[in-house]
Amino acid sequence: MTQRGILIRAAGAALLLAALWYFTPPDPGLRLCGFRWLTGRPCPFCGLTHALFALAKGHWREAIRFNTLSPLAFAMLFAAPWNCRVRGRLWTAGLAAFAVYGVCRVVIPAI
Amino acid sequence: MFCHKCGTQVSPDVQFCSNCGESLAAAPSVSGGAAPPVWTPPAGVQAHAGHWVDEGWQMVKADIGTFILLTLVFAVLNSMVPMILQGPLFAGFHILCMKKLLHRPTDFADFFKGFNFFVPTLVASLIIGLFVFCGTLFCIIPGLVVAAMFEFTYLFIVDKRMDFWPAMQASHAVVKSDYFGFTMFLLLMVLVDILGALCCIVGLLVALPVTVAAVTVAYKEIVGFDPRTAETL
Repeated sequence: MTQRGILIRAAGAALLLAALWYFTPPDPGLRLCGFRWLTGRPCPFCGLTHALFALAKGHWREAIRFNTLSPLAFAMLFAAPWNCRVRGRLWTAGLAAFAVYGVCRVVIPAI
Repeated sequence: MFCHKCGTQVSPDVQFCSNCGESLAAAPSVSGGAAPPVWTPPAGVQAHAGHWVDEGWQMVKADIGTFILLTLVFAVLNSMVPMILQGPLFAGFHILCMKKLLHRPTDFADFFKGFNFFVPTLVASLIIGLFVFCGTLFCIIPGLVVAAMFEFTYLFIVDKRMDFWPAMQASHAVVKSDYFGFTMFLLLMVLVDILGALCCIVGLLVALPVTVAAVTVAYKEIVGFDPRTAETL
């Protein structure tokens, strides 16, 4: 990757972090998750938006309450623009973890 | 590479498909056409969303009247027979864009050449629609990633003469080296279409062909057109 590419990606990551830190999404009046609408149970990604905003502000407990795997999603999000082998492994492991988490969320009501 | 019969990914050095037994040797064609090519996905592809959309805009701008007229026909036919005609019409749009990129003269009839690939494009559009719908159920974003995965499917069908499933696999093979970049490319195209729709819906007549042209430009730069396509289009 060229130095310019690295700089652009780093600037993008800094902008994203600043946006997450500065804003807080309002509670949605309309839930966009079709899985929750159909089954009444949260999907593996439910709560991630709020959790990412909370994580950027350092509110770990709140983030984990929204979505237990949100720190993993946070790492995956910031690894996404970097085209390297570590990213591939992280995303493969992360998606597998979310699949398992999704099943747990459906089966165990407390999660 | 992929088996041209069943779509299974196989090692480039094997002579027969491990799944269906189809010969993968480059046999000379008896009738002078038609044998679908064996295709090897390029490695280390990276998306250049802004550049492709810009190239798409340049193409549409150069012949804006034709593109607006085609998009009107596309919208009318697609609303008269929803879902069924979407695949062939998109394929026709891509064929027209391909001819523009190959500097061939185009005419209105090119738009309907997508119907030469009616069955594979129809099945592909239905399957991709189903996959995207299922992905969208999980808080929208997985649906966008799935849509990005299959954004080159129609081009593989019309250019490489692939069936719907190998074409979908080939599109995925291209996109998987940069999921993030290609999802951003898709989001940029969605944004262009939203901006077009905000201009009293009429803006879509320009925005939609820009996005189709951008995908065709991306395909040309990443995969390259099959030499036979230039002869047969």
